[in-house]
Amino acid sequence: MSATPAPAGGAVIGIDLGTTNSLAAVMGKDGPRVLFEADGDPLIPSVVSFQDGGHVVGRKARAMAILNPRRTVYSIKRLMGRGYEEISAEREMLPYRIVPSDQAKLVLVEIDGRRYTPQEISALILRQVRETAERALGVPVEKAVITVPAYFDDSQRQATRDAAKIAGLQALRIVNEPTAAALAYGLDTRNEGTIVVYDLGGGTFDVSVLKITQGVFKVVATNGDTHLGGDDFDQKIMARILDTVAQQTGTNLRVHPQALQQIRLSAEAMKIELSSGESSAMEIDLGTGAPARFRLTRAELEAMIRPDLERTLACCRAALADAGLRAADVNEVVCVGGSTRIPRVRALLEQEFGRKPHTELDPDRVVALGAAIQANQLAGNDGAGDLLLLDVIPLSLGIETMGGAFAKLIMRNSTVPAQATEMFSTSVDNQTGIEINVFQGERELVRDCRELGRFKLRGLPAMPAGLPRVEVTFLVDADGVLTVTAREQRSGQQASIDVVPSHGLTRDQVKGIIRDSIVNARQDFAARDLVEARNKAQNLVQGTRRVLAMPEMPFTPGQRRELEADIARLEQLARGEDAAALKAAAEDFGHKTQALADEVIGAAIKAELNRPGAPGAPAS
Amino acid sequence: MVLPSAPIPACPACGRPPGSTLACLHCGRLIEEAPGATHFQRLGLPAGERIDRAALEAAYLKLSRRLHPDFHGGADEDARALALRNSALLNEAYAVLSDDEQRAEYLLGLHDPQALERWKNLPPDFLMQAMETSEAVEGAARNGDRPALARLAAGVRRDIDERMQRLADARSWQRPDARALATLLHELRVFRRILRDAEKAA
Repeated sequence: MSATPAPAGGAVIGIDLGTTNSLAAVMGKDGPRVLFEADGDPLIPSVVSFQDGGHVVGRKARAMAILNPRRTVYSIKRLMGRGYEEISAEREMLPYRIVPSDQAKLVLVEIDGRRYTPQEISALILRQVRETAERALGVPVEKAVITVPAYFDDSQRQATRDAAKIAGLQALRIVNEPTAAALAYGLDTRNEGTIVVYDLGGGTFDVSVLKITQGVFKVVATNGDTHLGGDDFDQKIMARILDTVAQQTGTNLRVHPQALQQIRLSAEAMKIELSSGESSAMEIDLGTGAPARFRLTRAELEAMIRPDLERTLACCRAALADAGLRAADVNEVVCVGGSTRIPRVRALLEQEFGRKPHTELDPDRVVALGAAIQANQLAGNDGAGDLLLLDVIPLSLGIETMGGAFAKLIMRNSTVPAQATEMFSTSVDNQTGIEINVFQGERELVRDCRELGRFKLRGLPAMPAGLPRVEVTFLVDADGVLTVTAREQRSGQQASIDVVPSHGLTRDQVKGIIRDSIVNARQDFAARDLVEARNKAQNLVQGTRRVLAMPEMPFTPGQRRELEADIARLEQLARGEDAAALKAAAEDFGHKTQALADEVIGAAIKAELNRPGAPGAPAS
Repeated sequence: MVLPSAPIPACPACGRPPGSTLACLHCGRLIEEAPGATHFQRLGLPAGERIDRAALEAAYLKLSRRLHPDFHGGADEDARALALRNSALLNEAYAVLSDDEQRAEYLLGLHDPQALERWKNLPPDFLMQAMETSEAVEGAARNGDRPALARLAAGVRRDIDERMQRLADARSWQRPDARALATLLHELRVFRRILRDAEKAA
């Protein structure tokens, strides 16, 4: 266990909530470090598996994917803040049951007849990350900086914030993944200049162009694709394997979820192998005669994923164009995300920008490290410099006007916080409400943009049509999340607004989920309670051991035996789960050692005083 | 060019001239802005058609450090809301002032709020030229003629540069001809739309 002192109110950590893996990091004395348990891997698979009325998260859940494919949820990030009709590709690819909500706009995951929002599944992952961090740090964690792809829109960011809320975490800030990565690199090198962060993860691709001056990290443009990543490469390999099996054996494995899971994992393993080796081979034993054989070379893989990589380069060029820069203006290129381990990706980047990309930091960890730096900054901890992140809104935000046209109010790549105001009026006498439909996107018509929600203004004073002057303010905060306020100017009256998110949860729904998970909350509390009790017990044990080891301490053999027995009991309780018993035992032990300490120290002082020649020793 | 320039009120906390309508640069106090503040006053810069880039950058960074919500996380709700609003105003002011075209449009608006609306009928020879270029772009896009698109885009860029030069020419601001400036800005908008179409098709 670490000896990092606990800041008041617990530690503030950075969390990379990934499509494939999640992990936490914290700022230490020597810079940021990832958090994991002694025996563990810092990467916690973003997988939740349900069984026997309970659930497991992480590696255990990932292992269940093969045995229990219909109850094992992975890649949930792809469903966050999205609508049922938008995810037909995912529905085909994911083996668990995905259903539309009653309003048909939300996506739900159905396991054994129970329905979960993606926010709830993500909250389970966040909770696991948090518990891992708490065990590693030995202190409670209540606040975090959570990262999202830069190209996430308002609904997806809002969904992430809601997931944190459901997990009982206060999200101090939602930070864009490439920006966090730049932070992790920037602190090491004290860079000044223009950098490009190329972030190709499991499910998403982002590119951000940043200018760094005097500790200010200013994003000037961002671009990306929230549906492009290593998963897609796995899918392509998978399809090739399935075709090969069908060809060689006539068996269609596409209808066997268990086999599909196995092959998905094999495809991923082959992809990884081909980053170092030139070819990879596998056998698929169907138990019906000769096994099917499949072989893939690196060149073949590169040809398969070439269109995807071309798409990422097109995004890079678009971001540079938005920033008004050319490739030659870029000082550094930084690689983030596991998929940048693919040699072809690095080669393409070198070709595109004429310089070797930075790969010094582990591409799977760099985002969490950067998030920890930002978390430290926001917590106002000692050693926090005067670092400042200025990020942008990735997609233009606007409203629907006459004939379904999209009127942009806040342009993409505007620095956040950003705001726009717009005047509205009424079209009917005594109309007291106005409905505003908000969209995000770059196209001319709202039907080609993403609907964020409907904002219903109520309580306007009754006036003839066209007379009310309603000033509506659209404010995007530093997390990239929109709030809308309205005021009728003639009366000065604040209009109240009902928000109906198109692909998200209303405030009441989030509250409801939190209320329903009160049992979980109690378990949470108990878990943290246990962490604290274990910590306290361990400190006591260590302190007592230290004292026992001091040769000058005049313990009697009986006292020693008793203390050793108490320590053993305490350690046994600390390995268990009963926080109350552990706390009680630790408290007893504390009193006892205190009394003993008084006695022993008293004896030591007496002995010292009685030593012949000691000052103040009684004359013999 | 004569601009309305109400003096910035003294800082409510330390009584000194705050140097910005958004925050006091002496004591750091965030200020609730009075109506009518200009983007120039937000950044504490003299209003005018020429902008001192270095001074703009420096003022923006300094104010960002005062205003950004990240530095007010521990404050009460009202103070956090003010930091958020003022940050958004600062970012808007900076975006407008750092872009030559947006700055010109903003200045024209300060000088004569109705100018753009009043002078939106463009000269017929300009409209003719724009329509021809636009049709040529459409035609080249239909035929997938990339070299033609590139040629057309380059031509439009030259037209834009030429007008940006005229806009930047300080003499046009000495005694501003609102009609000429409004016309220039409208023409620039038309050219930018054609350029966007040409680039999208390429």
